[in-house]
Amino acid sequence: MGIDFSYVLKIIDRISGAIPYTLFIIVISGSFGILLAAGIAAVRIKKWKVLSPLANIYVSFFRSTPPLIHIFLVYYGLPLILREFGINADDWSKTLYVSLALILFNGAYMSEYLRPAYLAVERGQHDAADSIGMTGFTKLRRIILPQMLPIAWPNLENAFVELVKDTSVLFVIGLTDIMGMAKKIISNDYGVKKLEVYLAAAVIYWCITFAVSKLCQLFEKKITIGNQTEKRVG
Amino acid sequence: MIVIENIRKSFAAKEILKGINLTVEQGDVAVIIGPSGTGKTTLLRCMNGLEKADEGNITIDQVEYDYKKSSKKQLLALRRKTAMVFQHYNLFKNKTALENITEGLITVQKIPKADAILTAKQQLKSVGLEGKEDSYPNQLSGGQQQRVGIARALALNPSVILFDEPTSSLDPELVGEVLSVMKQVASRGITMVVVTHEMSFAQTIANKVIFMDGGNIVEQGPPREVFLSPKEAATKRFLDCIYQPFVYQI
Repeated sequence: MGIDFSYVLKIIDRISGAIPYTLFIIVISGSFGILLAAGIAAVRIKKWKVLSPLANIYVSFFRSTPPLIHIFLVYYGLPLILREFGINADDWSKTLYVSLALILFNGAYMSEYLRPAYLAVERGQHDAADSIGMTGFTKLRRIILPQMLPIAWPNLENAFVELVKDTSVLFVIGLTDIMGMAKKIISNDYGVKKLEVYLAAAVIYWCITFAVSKLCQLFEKKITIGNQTEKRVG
Repeated sequence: MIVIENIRKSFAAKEILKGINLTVEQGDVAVIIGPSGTGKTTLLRCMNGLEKADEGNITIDQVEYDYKKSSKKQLLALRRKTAMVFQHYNLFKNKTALENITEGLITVQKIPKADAILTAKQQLKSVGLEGKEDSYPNQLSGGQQQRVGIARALALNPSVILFDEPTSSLDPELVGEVLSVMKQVASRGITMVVVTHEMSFAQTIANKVIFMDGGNIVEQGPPREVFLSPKEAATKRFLDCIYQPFVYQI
């Protein structure tokens, strides 16, 4: 086989310089994404006037279009909209735009994991909490969230893994994440040993994804309720 | 003392409660009976605001609640005067038997944790569940879960405990253990309002029987009167239906 494995190792070393930046994007868009998702899910569950139909349109749009397009739309579209309001966004960093795009995408996506999980908690649990005089917030924190998180978590875990892979499109607006770094190396070397570079990038994504899902599983153990323990593979 | 005045409630276009007035004295064991769909459970759920009546008001031990005007804060105050035992137990699934009881004491009544645990243990003992402190609801039988439910209500030391068909979803052999706990609660002088189909319980434990039909209270009085010499035709019909043996064949 014509694959130069020692070169792959060398490239992994070079690309790994872009790991911290990629992780940064993942953490920012993952954490703000889930916060946005919680807000969107709440709006849709409570069926607030005006806000709820808007949230429906937002979720429908962002779930039905690829994140690559979101990045373009936000990167090229947002400055135009802001200009209408007299805000000059021309020198905002690209990191901000991609984070925003990924937050919007994940907000829509994850809200559709949180909403059904909330609705899956039986009415009787709400009744019981209300009947002892709990405030809405205490009920959510002590009774509802601990029961809905184990339901939502496997899906959220998948969303985080997807998020890791979605960062691979950042290079389209010229950011140097893992994929951006790989592209750079390839063009610097005039396209020689492309396969090795892509292989190296794949290995790095695999490692990050593996770490993310391991972290998720650790957390999953924490939120398992009662005596319910489910064996899982992977 | 509980005073209910002119509670009305409709679901969609159907009026379920048509202006209910009811007084329950301190220490009363009031049992609400009647055909299904007459609003017994709805009335009970209005009493702690789980169901919001369209109009009317309720007073429980100086806490007044007007369904039309009162605020969320007043709703909480009303709920903190009451406790409820549910048909489907509704124990918190993410909490152990002990935690189910301490939860309200700690988060609502702000009682120190150590005291709450002590109270919870006593209550579990009083319903015969010593040693089940660390069991989760899905590890308990229906009868045990319901007894935890009763202990949870008792621990809050409310002005009244509302029982919503507490034995209806139990296996027949488990009904007795729950009824005997309820009997013991009644003997402690705790005010109870009970919706039930257990006529023997109504006859022997209650000191007040309320017969509802079609969204109204048709007749009320001591069990002896209501069961043995009902005044209203609807009451008679209902009781005849219940006491007539073998009226249906399978």
